[in-house]
Amino acid sequence: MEPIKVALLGNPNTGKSSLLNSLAGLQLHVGNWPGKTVEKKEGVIQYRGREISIVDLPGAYSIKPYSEEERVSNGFITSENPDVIVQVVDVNALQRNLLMTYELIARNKKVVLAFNFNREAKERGLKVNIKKISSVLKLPIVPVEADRGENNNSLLKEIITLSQKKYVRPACINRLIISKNNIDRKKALTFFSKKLSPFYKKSSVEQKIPSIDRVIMNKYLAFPIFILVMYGIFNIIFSLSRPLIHLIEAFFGIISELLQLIPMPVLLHSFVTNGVINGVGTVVSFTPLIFLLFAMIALLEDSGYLGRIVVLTDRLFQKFGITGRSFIPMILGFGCNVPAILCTRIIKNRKERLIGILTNSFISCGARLPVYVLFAGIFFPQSAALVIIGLYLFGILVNLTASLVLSKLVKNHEPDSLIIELPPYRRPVFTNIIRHAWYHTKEFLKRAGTLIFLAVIVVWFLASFPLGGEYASQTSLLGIIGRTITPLFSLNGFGHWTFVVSLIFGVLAKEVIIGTLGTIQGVSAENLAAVFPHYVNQAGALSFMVFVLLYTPCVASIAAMRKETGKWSYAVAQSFVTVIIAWIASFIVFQTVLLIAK
Amino acid sequence: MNKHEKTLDKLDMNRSAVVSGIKNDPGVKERLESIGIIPGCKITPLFACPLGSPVIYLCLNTLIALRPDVTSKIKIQISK
Repeated sequence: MEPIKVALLGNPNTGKSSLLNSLAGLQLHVGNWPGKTVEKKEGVIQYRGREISIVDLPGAYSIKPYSEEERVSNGFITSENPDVIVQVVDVNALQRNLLMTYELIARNKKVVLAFNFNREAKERGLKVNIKKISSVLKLPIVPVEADRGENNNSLLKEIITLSQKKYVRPACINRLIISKNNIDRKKALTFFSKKLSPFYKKSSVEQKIPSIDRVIMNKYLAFPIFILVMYGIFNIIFSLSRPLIHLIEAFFGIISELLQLIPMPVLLHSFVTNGVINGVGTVVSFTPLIFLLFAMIALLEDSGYLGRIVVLTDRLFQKFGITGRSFIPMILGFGCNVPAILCTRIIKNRKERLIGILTNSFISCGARLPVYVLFAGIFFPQSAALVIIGLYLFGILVNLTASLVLSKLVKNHEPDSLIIELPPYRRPVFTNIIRHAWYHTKEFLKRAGTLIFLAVIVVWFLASFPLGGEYASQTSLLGIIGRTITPLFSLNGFGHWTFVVSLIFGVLAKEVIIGTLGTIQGVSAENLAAVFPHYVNQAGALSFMVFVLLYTPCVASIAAMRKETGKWSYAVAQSFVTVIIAWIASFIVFQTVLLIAK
Repeated sequence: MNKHEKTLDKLDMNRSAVVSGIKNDPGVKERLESIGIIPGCKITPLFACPLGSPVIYLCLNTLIALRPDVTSKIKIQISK
């Protein structure tokens, strides 16, 4: 027998992911819709001898193809023609949730409604007569508690029954339908209040401001609380992942040392340690960071606080053509741009998300800090802190300016403005968070991992050939490339080939810049202080730092940009444009400082 | 009954009104209607964010945040 093809649909915040997790659990496969940046989850389950394949459609308020998410759902429903659609419904917002149900019926789809959050409704004093509602709508309804997996079997039973029945369009909904793609929403409201509201009774007390919001969104407390939460999250992600990353690095270090004991040709040894182990190590060392990031984001999102952060910060970003949704990726960028770019998926508007992805690298990540510390320490010993803070602020300024410019350039078919639902506060489900984080970590390692690995191999090749010279020396291909393009930087104040080569290596990972400078200068990183002043002056050092701040992001970020935009062209274009921006900015800085110094 | 028509951005906090229409902007209209801001439904501004915008509205038992550029397009009727 053919598997029953089921599509899972629902408004945002209806507990759709929880239901999917409890139904398909570990058999879920997470990826992207072909050619889209929208996430695709699917899984196959066995129930009573039948195979049921479930595809999760993106959470949306409508299936009319306006946003990218809606286009995905619309395309799937039209072309794949699922046997049954399960719509997850938050019973607390039934009236609005049903609007989508009517749209599905207008398309002549077999629909099962999974009513979720019944306990919460009861606590709120909402009396819902599911049997009556089901008989009015002529649709099967199964009450579930998605986060506990309650009544999943009844739901599966209903899916099988419905898939075997002939389709009959519920007559009562006919008059709400204008055309295949349009329903009369005003009539839908009247229909609800006339036919359904007797079975959907609210207690006399109407919902007012949720009591938590009286504190969390309070005029004076909102920002202090928000800063505390952001600080906490930033701290958890970066301080918990640091020891794990060190552990992974130490592990690969031990492997490298063990390899030295095995006799093998020098070139092969260099390939294995500098190329393969370095490559695998770089990729694997991202795992704890990505995992914790996605866990934290899921926690914020599932608890309902993410929506609050978006509206709290919205006013600040409005002037730059973006919304409060861009705030979190920006903050995370200070730690590492890779998870920050991945986390732009919380931005639902396609245009704004693209802007967020392309501008994130201007936010100075943690890996660039050692460069500033070293250079500012050597050249500006009296005011190092000021210089470093200045660089960070300058990065934010460039990020916002670039956002503004892009917001004017990028075409948009969705409303620019913020129209967002503030979901009710709910207790997050631990297993959902862990699963969510794990799916995304796996996906990142699979997709971006290959690219990062390849890039490391290419650089190893360039640094090792032609044979005979030292690794990454002046005579290697990389050294030759470095020396060839060095004159391009003579106007920027750091026209020495060692700096240029270190910048090329910096594209692998910004952490590498200082190490490379040390290696090619033939001194340890601590002794660079004695060497540098021979090659650059104060102005040149400042200009170099500005260049490091703004130029091409690391390969892991490029891979993340490729993954999240779905297109190579964006990732490649960003990498080139940022070099030009960095060149211009560092040129201006160098020349201005020279002028002032005169 | 004296009906007053104005736009949603002019409505005082905690005063309820009925949405009477959405000014011509198909993208915004579609987005608003799908999230539940439909002519005929009751809407109440609950509170503004600390920086003044957006404002949080209660509509169809859900909280929705909207900026003034959108609320100035939503026509409402207040019954006095």
